[in-house]
Amino acid sequence: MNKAIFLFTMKRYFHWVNLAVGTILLLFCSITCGMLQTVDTPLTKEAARSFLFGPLIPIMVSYLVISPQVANSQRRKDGEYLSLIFSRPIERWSYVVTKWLTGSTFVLLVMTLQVALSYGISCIVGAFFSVQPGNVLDGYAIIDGILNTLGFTALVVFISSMPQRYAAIVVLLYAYIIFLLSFTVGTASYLDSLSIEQVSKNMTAIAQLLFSIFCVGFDSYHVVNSSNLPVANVLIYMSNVVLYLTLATLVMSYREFFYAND
Amino acid sequence: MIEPGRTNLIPKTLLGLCIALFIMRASAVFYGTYFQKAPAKAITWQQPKPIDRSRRDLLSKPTLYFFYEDYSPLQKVTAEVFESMLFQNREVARLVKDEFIPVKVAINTSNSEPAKSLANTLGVYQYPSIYITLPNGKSIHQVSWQSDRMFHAFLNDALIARAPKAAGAALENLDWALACEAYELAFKEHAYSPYSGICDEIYWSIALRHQNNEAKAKQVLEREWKERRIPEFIRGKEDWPKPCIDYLLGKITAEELEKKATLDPHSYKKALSQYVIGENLLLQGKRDEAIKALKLSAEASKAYYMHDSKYARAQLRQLGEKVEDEKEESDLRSIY
Repeated sequence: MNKAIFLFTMKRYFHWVNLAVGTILLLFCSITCGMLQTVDTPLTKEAARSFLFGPLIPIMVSYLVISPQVANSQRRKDGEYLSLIFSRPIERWSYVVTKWLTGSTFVLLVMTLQVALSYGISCIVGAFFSVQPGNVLDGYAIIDGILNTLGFTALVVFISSMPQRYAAIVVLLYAYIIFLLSFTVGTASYLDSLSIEQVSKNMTAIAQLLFSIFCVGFDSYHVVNSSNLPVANVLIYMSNVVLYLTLATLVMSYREFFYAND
Repeated sequence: MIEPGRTNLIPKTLLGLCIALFIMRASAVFYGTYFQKAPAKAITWQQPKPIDRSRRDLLSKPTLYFFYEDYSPLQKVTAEVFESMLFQNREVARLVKDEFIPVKVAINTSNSEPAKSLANTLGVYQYPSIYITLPNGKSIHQVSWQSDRMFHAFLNDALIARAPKAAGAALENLDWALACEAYELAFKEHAYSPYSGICDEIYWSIALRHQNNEAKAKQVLEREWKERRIPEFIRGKEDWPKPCIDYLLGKITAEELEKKATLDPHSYKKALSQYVIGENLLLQGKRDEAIKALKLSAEASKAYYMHDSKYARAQLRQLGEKVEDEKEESDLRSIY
């Protein structure tokens, strides 16, 4: 990891435009979750937990702050910025890993702030209605929060490492595949549910292998309580994170960054 | 110092780790598909039976219906994935085995009854899906694709909603003993859950008085009065249904209650106030006056969600008055 890039990137994330947009989103999400926590049913608590520790916040925040194509708060062009960085002999993998770790740290910070705000709001609302706010923080939530952050940030680092036109195609393809999965299967928990005899086993295995590349999230509750082989889910998750980082490094290595290109 | 030409090399460790993990992942997937034995079915499904509307044991285990279409191989596969995704979770399987009666209902071209009538009665509109009902077929909850964790929460939610639903169904059957038992259970299991309506204490106290338990009826109303958790600035000046509680506690007269129920564009105040007045008069032995008030409540609304009118119609039937029958569909639409 490169310390200079880490500090510079972190400083860039705290730009006022990011902070302004982030605060609005943060408040909106916290109010929603805080209200959900005060409604005393298992379903609302679970909805608040999914909202706080599920994939939504990691993918939103990481895409907002990491991807220069989407939100470059300093109005710099992608190539110009990277040309400056790579005028120094910095290894591309080091840049990718640093971006990933910086992004993950920032997302975890936002998530922590979000959880604290939600608890604060639920305590205030709970005091009005004499309701004990529901606790959504448990071991599963913490593991899911950290792993979802690392997974989705790796995906966004990979997407943002590409030139803008390719990145747009990959994002659209990803969105389409996720939509297809959500529409047909519902959640990523389908991964270890495909031992079906009615369809060809070859097709099943290949489809599972291919589609699982797009499943970045991690559901620790599903993995721990599954009657099936949980090691497959863990391997798929780890493999995806390393795959995205390797692909990002590969793309960055093949791209050329010169001032003359800008 | 790193040589400029070497900055764009991919580290061998990263590449090796990536390839190794991909091979391991492929091995796990292929092992799971070809060699791993499918886990034993965690749940023993029962065969579907027609709904018995006359059942009165509403607090016994609720029924969990798993509806799926069986017309084509794709639908079969979808149902398998759905079942495996939700019911192979050990915690979900344990909860279903302990607390529900699981029934699997396949909808296909060849079979007709009772699967089709079950789907029609419960208004099943998407497949696969899960419906949870009381033993008499009254719907509690319905859900389709969910993560197993959310489904576990959904099952717990259905268990909380079961007692207030059973109490409501008991009131429609004028089964006061069962209503008291269900309200007691609802309060004990999950006091002030969102499934306990704002008027539940009123109904509970009426049921208790029909069971000649005046002391407890008063205690229930006073507790509701003391422990109401809605802040005053939200309740507003009218603070409905506080006037009904005041009337039942003898603090105001029927005329005063009627006056307080005037601002009522959707007739829900009229339905409740007249039902309360009717039941109170009936308990005092004033049959004719009670029938008059109950009729006003019964006619206030025919909407399926207007419970007070339904309870009033049930009471009128019991008293021998001519009242139109409830549509079965109206009970079941309450899930939407």
